Amino acid sequence: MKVLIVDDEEDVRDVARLSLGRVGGLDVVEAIQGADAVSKAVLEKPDFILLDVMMPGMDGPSTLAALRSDERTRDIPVVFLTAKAMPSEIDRLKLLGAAGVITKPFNPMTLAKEVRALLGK
Amino acid sequence: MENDEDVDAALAELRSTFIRNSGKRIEDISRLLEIIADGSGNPQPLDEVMRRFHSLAGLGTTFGFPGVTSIARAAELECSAGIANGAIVPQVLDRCRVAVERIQAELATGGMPEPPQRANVEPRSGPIDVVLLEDDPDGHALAVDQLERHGMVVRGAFSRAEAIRLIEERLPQALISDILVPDGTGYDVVEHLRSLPGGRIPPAIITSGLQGFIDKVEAIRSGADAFFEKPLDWTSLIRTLDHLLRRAEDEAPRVLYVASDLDHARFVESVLESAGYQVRVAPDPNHLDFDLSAFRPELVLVDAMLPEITGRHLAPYIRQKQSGATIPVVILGPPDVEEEILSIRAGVDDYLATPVDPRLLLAFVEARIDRSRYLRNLIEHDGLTGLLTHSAFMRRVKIRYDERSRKPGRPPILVFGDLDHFKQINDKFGHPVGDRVLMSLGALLRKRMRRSDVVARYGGEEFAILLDDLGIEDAFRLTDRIRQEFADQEHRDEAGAPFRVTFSAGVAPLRDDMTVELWKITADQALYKGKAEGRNRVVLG
Repeated sequence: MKVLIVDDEEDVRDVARLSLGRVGGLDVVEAIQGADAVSKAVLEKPDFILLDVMMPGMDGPSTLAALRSDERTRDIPVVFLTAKAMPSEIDRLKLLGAAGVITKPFNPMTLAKEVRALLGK
Repeated sequence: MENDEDVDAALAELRSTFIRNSGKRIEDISRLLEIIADGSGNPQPLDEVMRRFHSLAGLGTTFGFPGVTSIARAAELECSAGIANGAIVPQVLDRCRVAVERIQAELATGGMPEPPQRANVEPRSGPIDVVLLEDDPDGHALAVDQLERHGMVVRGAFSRAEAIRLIEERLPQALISDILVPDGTGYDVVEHLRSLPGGRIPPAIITSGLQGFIDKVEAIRSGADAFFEKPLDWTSLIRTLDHLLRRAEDEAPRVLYVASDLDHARFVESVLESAGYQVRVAPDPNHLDFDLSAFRPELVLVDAMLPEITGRHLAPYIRQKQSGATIPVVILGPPDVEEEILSIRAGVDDYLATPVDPRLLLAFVEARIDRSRYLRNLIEHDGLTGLLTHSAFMRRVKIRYDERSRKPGRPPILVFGDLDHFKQINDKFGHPVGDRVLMSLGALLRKRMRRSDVVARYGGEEFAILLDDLGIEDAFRLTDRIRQEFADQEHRDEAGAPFRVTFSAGVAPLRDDMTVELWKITADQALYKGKAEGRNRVVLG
């Protein structure tokens, strides 16, 4: 299973790569911003995308919209990564069509398990 | 999967990178704060400061620094409030500097070597899940009908054992239990609920078929929040349940402390924070306006003697603002009957003599906030539909409008709706039937809208919704889906004959050059366009 991690923070990408790749046993590709994420998604055809909400430029929700508007990426499940743990925020993100929401800071040892649970895999 | 030691080593390396990068983030913040302090009042650098705090908050706990996460998150909120106010208040800079120092201190401790095992539990959303225990079949059916009418989902039980099984299967968001059931009592069930992990949160209501039968002491002891005797007054039962649910869900109550002595303030702060309150200490009453609007406290504590003013003089000042009219104000001061009398006359709610016992302080604060939330809830909600009232809605709209500059991104969206030909329904079937239609619309809106959406009964048969963080297309689709769902609903007149009702709605996003007035007019015009085009439709304004 392949995951595309999208986050502008290198520290977050690093720890997510470790959690999903080395701990979780997934193939990991990365993108550092929204536009990059869309082209990587087309190229790499990941099984799901872990997408940061707050990024400069194209933010998470706009990136999701861009992914949804391209038929090559439309059906890839997206899990949001957000630092805002408010229920209202989580509801909002789900309504946009996310498969799930993971709150930061996440636990690096259990991230892969949580993502699998969200995706039902 | 690699072996644990390799992962641990890699994690340790990332951790040291994080600490190194955080040093740099902290340097950036300090530098930016200086620029702001010197500078032009341009809010741009504060945005950058906020981003740095955001990163620190998002990463701290992952690497074993939960303290960094909580300090940085608070600082991030301060910044966002600071930006909202346009001109940056010096206080925000001071608080950021304090946060920087505290974060440095946290990082210096080296943190916890093992990050805490924390489950990312997602809060539930959607309709309220209620477990109902009622062994009388008629009473059971009536209760299910009433609760569902208010947009709740009911899991019904006819015995104590069955109720306990349902609760254990999945923790409900509320419990309503009759007192006497064949195999035990409602008290047992409440007590059982309370003993489960997380079981203290769901509201529990006890009902009784006999007047004077409820042993209130026993009910309280078991952990029930309220009790009702039959015949049940469903309006007040649902209203109470609503209030309890809101309390269960609400974010931590906010207490503002206008303090003269910072050491004492830290003490009070830690007492309240340890009980789950959010506390903001305001050392300077001159900034009270800012603190009231940015922090929106639910209770204000004031020291009797402040540097330039007597504490009680702040009470009328807080009260004169509409938003402050219902905020309890409590003075902390030395035992002094004269001062106490003057304070009460000035409109202060309580005078607590210092040194105050922490337990007394907590009891006071909790009781005051709970009461004021209950009253606000009564005042702000329409009794028939449970939706917000017109004035409460407009207050939220105004708050959201004033926040527009600090919330870049998607604009808020206003939806105005109006039932089609509602007057004819009232004329033809009578008002009780019309009221039921309104109730079912209220229930549908509450069921379908997110908890964060603001939904109001705007006028007789008009409703209004304030949507946030949603694209205009999604807002339109959402409204249209509700329109369709409502149009498909079958209502019944007094004789049981079915009929259908539709509504029209206008959807208007806030645009840059709009005043609140123009925004409302735009939504209104879209609504009337929908009416003119033949009703039962949603129109974009």
